[in-house]
Amino acid sequence: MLGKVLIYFFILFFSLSVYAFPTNSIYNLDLKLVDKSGKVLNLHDLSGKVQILSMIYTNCKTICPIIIANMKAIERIVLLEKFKNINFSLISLDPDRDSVDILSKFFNDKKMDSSRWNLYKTSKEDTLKLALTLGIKYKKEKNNEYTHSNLIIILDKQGVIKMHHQGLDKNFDHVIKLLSQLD
Amino acid sequence: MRYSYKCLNVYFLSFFFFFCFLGLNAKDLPKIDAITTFAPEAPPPIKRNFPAYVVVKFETIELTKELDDGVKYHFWTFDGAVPGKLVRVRQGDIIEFSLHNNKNSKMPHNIDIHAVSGPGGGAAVSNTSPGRTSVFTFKALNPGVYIYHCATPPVPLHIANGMYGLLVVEPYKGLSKVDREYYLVQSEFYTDNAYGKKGLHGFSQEKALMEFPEYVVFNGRVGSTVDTRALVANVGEKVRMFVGNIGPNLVSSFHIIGIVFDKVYVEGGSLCNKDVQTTVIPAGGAVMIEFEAKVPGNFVLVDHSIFRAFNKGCVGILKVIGQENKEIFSEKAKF
Amino acid sequence: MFNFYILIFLFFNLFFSYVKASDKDMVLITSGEYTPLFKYGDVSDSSKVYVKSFMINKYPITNLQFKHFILNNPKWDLDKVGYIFADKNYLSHWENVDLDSISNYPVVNVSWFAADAYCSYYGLRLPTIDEWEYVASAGINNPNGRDEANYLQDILDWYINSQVSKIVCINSMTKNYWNVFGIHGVVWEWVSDFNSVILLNTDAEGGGLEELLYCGATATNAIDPADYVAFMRFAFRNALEANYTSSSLGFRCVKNVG
Repeated sequence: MLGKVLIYFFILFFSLSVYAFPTNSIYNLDLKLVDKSGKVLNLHDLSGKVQILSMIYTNCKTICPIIIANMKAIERIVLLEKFKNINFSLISLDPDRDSVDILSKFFNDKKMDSSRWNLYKTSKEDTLKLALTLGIKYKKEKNNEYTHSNLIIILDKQGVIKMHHQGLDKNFDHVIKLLSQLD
Repeated sequence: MRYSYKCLNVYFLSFFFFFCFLGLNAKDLPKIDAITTFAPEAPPPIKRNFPAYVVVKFETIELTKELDDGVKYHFWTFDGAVPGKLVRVRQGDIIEFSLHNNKNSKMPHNIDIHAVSGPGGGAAVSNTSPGRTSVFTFKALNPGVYIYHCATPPVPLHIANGMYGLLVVEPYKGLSKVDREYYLVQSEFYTDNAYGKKGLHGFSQEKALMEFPEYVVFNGRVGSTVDTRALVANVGEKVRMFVGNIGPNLVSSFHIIGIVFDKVYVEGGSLCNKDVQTTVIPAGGAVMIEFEAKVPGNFVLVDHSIFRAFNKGCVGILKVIGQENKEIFSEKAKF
Repeated sequence: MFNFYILIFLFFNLFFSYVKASDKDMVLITSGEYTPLFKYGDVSDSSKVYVKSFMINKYPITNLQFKHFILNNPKWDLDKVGYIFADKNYLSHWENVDLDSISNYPVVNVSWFAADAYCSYYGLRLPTIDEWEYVASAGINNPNGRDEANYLQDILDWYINSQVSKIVCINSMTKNYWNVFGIHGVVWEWVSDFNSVILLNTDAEGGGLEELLYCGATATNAIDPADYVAFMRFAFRNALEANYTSSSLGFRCVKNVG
């Protein structure tokens, strides 16, 4: 009897936790990520922190470095303002070429702080679904380069998209104002 | 001594106001809803002498209605009207522009406002699916009379189907006082059926590419400003007209038979020409004209590429009522 | 006991017949080339795009078919789908309507996620832009519609001169060279990679992509700027997000062959 009660309680708790995110949270997407260390996690494991996200690929030579530089500039202000709960996440648009090793090397080359930054990849189908959910457009060109939106997206701790910031825009005032509210 | 104190007061006051306005940005401006009107009416002149945050809301609606008596066409419109509403703002205003696309629309729509200094004139950021809304802001930097139109690909088709209007930016010092103001937009329609044939007409891409319209009209339909819909003025009144020409292809040679334009603000800009009989309005452009209604009568508005006026519908009427002035115009005896 | 086995046998047949429902009404599209609206690659590349053979639904997915899908996948029912997957107009045309009266009409008001889930459930997928446009570029009797008089004007008429309320049921749809019905002038249709349409400056002819703003951008211009209907489809796709629904947007599925 007690066993049954415990099981029902467990199921209830589990189902409640699965549906704990607001309906417009991206964490309702059920997909797995692999990070630059090869660790497998669920997308919703990113919850609990404010996420500053972009989708790039390591072979990108023109715009992606600028997006990353801008994210680092935001990071400097985050540190100055002493925000505690901000993470920076980059997801690869090119999972075929961006292996875990390449992501790891890229991470080190860019001197990203592992307490705040991480790089991820997922399957091609899930890359598309994630991009669609985040509102990122991309197209693989004949020369294997990707044309893609240059957006930096800010999610609150529950995974709701709060801002699309133009990735090349160096004016971060509204970004910082939002982060102070979300932190 | 009194004289120098007065100077000092003026001196300090002007510095005070200077620094006040220096620090003003969008959030400090008073927020007001734009007053807009459907053609041929124009919103009243702007009375305020300070910048404001002006909220404008448009809805894109696709609907079938008359292009001529008994002739129907499937229009794409701003707010169900061709042309769309006339928006009137002041130089220095920040405009918050909200574009909602009716959920029954089949097409996405956006807007390019020629007064905007920014990508696509707003088109780049206002691409809106059916049922959705886009919002963007811009500052009205230059005074003038500006066309706006939908710029969703294929752009010529969105224009050809009726998506255009005018936005007026009054200069800081405002416009001179007149007694009447009117709003007109000339445009062409490229229909698969011939001019005047009754029934539902469709769009003919072939005719559009050849720049061979069946209809050239003011304000979206044949006879929009004739008979009971004629424009009116009284003798002695100063009349101003904001006249746009969207094309999509043709340039207009705008003339009112029996009237000389006292002032023509060339291409809707700040250059003022005087004593003009016929003025050119480029496709995608506009003009502001001012004249005094001196004698009574029916005065015919035309595109003086005259076959368009007589055979394609490009006529309007200004009815002037009042006392005759035989010195200016009189009918002599016939023999 | 024997009756019991017959019952089990019938049950599984019924189940699998539902599962394969979408499979039956598919036609083969043999491989070939078509000319897309925007040229891929560099100036020196061919403007034609090669498309491998695939199977495609003859008709757009109907309300009845989508209802069956929901019965087997209740998380896609009207009240259960979260905003991230479909907006508030999801299947709104089913409310207060007798489904029998619209059973054979294309399902609309479905988001990309819903359409993708439907196709995946039946072991299918959404067509890519190239696959869809390849089928759509056929005329009534020719694999290349441009070889037929009035081809573009006829499609233009359907798109811009008809009203939303005139969406026809599958029995009234016309077929093209591939025996695919209602590919033009009925509803817009979801494609898997609609978010690859990146039109920057829509006022310019065809929309140009600027190298400085996008990684790996190749300057693209429309190959045939008179192909207004293709522009309309691209403009429509450009304005979409994956959770959008629209009363004139439906879908059909495809399957790989070989």
